Amino acid sequence: MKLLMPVCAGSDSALHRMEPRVKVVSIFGFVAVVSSLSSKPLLVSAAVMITALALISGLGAGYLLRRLILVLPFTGMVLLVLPFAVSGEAVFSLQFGYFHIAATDQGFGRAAILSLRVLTAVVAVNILTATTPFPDLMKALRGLKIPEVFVQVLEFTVRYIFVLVDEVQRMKLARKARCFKAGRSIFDKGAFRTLGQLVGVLFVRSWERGDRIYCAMLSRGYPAGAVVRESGARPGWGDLCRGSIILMSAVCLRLFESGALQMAMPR
Amino acid sequence: MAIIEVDDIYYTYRDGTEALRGLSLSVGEGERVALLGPNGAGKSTLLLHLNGINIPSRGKVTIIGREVNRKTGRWIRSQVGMVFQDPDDQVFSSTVWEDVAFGPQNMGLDVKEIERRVAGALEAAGMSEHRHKAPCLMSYGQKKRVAIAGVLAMKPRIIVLDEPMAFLDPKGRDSLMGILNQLHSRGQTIVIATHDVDFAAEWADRVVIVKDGKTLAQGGRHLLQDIGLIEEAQLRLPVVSKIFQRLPGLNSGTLPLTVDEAVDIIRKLMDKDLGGGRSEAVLPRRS
Repeated sequence: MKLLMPVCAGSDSALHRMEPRVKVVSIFGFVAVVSSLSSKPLLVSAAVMITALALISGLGAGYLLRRLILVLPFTGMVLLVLPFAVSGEAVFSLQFGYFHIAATDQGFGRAAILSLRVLTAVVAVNILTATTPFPDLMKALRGLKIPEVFVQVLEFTVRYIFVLVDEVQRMKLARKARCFKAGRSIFDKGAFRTLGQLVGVLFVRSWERGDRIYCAMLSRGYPAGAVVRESGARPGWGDLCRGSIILMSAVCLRLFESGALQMAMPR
Repeated sequence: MAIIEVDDIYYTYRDGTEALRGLSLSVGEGERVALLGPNGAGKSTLLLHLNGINIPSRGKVTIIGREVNRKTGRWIRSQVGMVFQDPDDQVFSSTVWEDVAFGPQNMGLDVKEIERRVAGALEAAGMSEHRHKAPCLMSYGQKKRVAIAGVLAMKPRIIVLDEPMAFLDPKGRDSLMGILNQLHSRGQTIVIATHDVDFAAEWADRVVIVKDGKTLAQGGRHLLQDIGLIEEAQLRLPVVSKIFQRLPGLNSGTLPLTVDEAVDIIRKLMDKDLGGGRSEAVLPRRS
């Protein structure tokens, strides 16, 4: 539950005080540019830079690690498959009956590049969410003219994840109260069926809730003709400078790679 | 003139459930109306007709002299504010202030006016000091008050609440009752759907009793004493009336509905029997 919270870790660093719109642009710009890098040493330096920035802004190493673990189920599978999926010089091979698969050097290289990119992106986005209160972040996105639909999807996800988790928690408790014992593995037939029902009921309930939420929004005049929103004050020069330092560091790495900046670089 | 006029409406959900089958009612300006009925009687479905979210397949709904249809829907919604049963359905923004501002923003008001209205609504709902908090971290009662503030900020002429007292603790009920009384004293028309007969007996000017999508009866609070009607509607007598029903000796004609009425009757009996003597003497003799 705590992991899901858009908490503000620490509370006073230059990043915490930075204007949210500038922060959004510089962080997302950094991620976008770094994702286009394909040299390992440069990606490593980008990852080191962003992690250093995170630590300076008061995000603990433990906090970052926990957040990274959350992403693992999604990228982990790709990382496992990738070494075998790319053709090249075989490093080692596995034999499954008639199937013979080989992990290649090039494959490992790709996996390393991918994981470095993911690492940089996850740390960067965590810097953004941990140093900006959620409402300010949403306001910044609106201020940057991100389409309302996207902002609302984000807003609703964060808002209703609590309601959903609460619901699961209550259902779990109610099951326990009727002596349900969770199976040891997902292959336990009874437990598997219960789990399936849980997912089904949750889906139906969320569907119905979505319907009610929409009705409630209609009741309050949604969709609006033209919504007047106050626009924030102009960001200060200090903020703009700090933001451009973040962005420029990524751009410099990109320039190194493309060879526009002539410098001795280990390849 | 009736501010809400519902004339013989029918409504069937997409899954084929016939929710309303010839329901009629009328509400006068400034009235406090309790819409009573058992679960599944069609109360919530009816409420969604009052602000044009549901459009009846037959019959018509008229609000402040204008018929509710797809074209008038937006205008109707600015006149009829609806508070949903579960505040989690209604309160969705990341801060209280933003949520209360949602309605006024949709109405296209300017920033100054929005600020004024939000401040006023938060004040009325007693939530001013929580305006920067996140609704998802609040208690149920607080979320409910945010939901009410969100509707008040639109300054509707009619406020409709679906089971507002459900799940509230006694203090939450009291504070909600306070808000409702305040609204009534300002001349607001209030319609509440509920199956809480005690609440209806204490609060309402008029009651409308519905069952199976039809109106069984509408009129003054005295309907709640009509035992035949109450049983047909699968409701029950208010607790106060029940006590007096079982003690016919205490009963001087009509059953009392509210605590105040009961106290009056008991006091009169005490004065008559003992000339203001102690109450313990009355009850054992009478029962």
